[in-house]
Amino acid sequence: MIHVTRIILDVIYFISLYYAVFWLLTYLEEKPKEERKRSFKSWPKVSVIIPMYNEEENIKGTIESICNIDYPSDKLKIFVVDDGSKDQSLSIAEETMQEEKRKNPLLNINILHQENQGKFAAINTALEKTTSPFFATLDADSFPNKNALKNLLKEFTTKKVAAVSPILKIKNPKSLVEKLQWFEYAINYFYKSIIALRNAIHVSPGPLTVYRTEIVKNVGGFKEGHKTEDMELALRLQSKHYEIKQCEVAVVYTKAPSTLKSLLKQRIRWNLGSMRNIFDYSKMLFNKKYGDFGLFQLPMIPMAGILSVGLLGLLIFNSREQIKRYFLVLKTYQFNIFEYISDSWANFTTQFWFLNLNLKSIVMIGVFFSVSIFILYKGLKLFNEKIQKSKPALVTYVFLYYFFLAGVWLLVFKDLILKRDVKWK
Amino acid sequence: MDKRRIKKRRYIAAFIITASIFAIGLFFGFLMENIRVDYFQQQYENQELDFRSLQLQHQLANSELLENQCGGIRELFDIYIKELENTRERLDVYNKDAQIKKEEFNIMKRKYTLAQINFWYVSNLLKESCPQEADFITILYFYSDEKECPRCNEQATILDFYKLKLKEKLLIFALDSQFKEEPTIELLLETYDINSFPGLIIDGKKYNFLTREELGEILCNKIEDESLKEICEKGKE
Repeated sequence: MIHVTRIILDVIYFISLYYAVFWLLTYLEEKPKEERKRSFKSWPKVSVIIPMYNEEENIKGTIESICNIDYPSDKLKIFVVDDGSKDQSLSIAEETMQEEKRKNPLLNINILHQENQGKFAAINTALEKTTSPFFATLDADSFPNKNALKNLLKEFTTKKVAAVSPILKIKNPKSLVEKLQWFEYAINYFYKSIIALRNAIHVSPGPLTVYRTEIVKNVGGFKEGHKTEDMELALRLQSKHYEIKQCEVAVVYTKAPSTLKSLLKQRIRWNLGSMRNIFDYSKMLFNKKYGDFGLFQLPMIPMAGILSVGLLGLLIFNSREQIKRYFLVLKTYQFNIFEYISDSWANFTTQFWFLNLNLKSIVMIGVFFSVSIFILYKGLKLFNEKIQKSKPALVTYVFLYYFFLAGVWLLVFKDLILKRDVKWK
Repeated sequence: MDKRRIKKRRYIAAFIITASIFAIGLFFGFLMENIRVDYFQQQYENQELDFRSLQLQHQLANSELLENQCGGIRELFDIYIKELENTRERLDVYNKDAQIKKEEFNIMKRKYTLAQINFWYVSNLLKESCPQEADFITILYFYSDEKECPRCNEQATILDFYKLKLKEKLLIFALDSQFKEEPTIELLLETYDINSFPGLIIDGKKYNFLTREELGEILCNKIEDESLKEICEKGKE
């Protein structure tokens, strides 16, 4: 049994390491060069679509931030699509619209209303009315920086570029859970900036991704996509060999789940949606026709889930013996822990400290740790921030976040096996 | 639409780098196994010398040359038993970990098993020839794997419990009954008629699984030292 678990552990380690080495090589060989950004003599027309469902707390701020964005007012058209909210979202949106129009009469802002049909349908409603060459989606809990839209548009350097996503940062992280995600977003962004070099991005997130209207309309607009419509569209664009890019100088702040429970729900939705969408686009898996994306990156998503659950299982299996042993010891001591500690202390020996070292694991874990630190460092640099945010969150992220993600995957696989549907909340 | 290109070279390079890191890890693992085997070899040689010295002293004490000179024996005895027990326990752990040097570890295990039996034998002789120095209790403990002996782990923790408290007054010789490479074990199993595990021989008498209370009772009857009696009395509760 010991040998089986050891082999499985080695396989997990090898695959993970191969994956990291591959992308690090990509990074070193193709380091983002100072690409010539597109310049516009006159800025193109852009529509910003804000789908909204029960967002009374955030919608005011979102509308204000997009109304005040640095872009010629006569080129900007804003659609707020109320997807049958049951709270005060609609009236707050209307109020905010009037206020903003008073400040800037040139603003072109429209509020549409429909029965609740889902986020994808809300976006499509506005997309039908869109005639501008570019449009952006903006989640109703997200707040772009002033220069974000212009910077995103500069990335549309060729006709093949279908979508450009910004840097996402957590808005005002307060709780430990939010701070954890702050680090996670920094790391994810760096990682996405590498895979973008090989056009291997699989999601164009809701907070202010800019699309080329013609392409999105040609491929059929937004679809339900198992409640992860931003991933479904990205996969569809990839399947038609369009390009999805990242912009390092456009920053959008977004609200994140502040409790572990809400984070768990969000991640189950994301991962379950990913898996369902990947099943739908399974023709791309391990398919050379779709480049590094199909051959390597896409299969890694379900693979990461399987490996993390496998590793969690092994860790529990291995520590089971240990836990049993400690239980027996404590039982013998009739759960008098102090007696046990004083007995072991009196017999403590350092005789074997060196021989006890597991050099193989130390080498392997050392390599992984260095890679992680490198990625963290690069991610924060790209984020243009320092680690001053929160040290407890960083420690929690490095040592414990994995267990959370593995737990999420475990629940996702359970849902997949039981054929449960993806839920929003 | 243009065809997408992949860089085959990169897939291969990543594989080579990953495999190299793996190889370095394996190499260090192998190195460690070597260091461990060397360590036990060295340790064994020292202990063998100690053992010979012990044996010789015992013979001399028994001979007409140096009659009733039991003094130095006890000291050597204590050092020896401590080393032997520690190393044997580690050896078992490393043996399970070993990937390449399995054979060497098995040979070491056999050497240490023999050393233990030898030592147990000498401790019995000592009880006869130098009874005033032999104020210890000996336990031969036969264990087996999970399948054959589900309660062995528990028995081991109970033995450890008393060992930690009684120290050199209690000598435990743990023998792996599954270790077929050493025929002496088989011989002992037959002699004491042990066919279920755990099997304990305490000062010549056979027992099966003993709880903390039962073992405390047995030890209490054999211990004379007042301060130690307190320990086993407490263990009985």
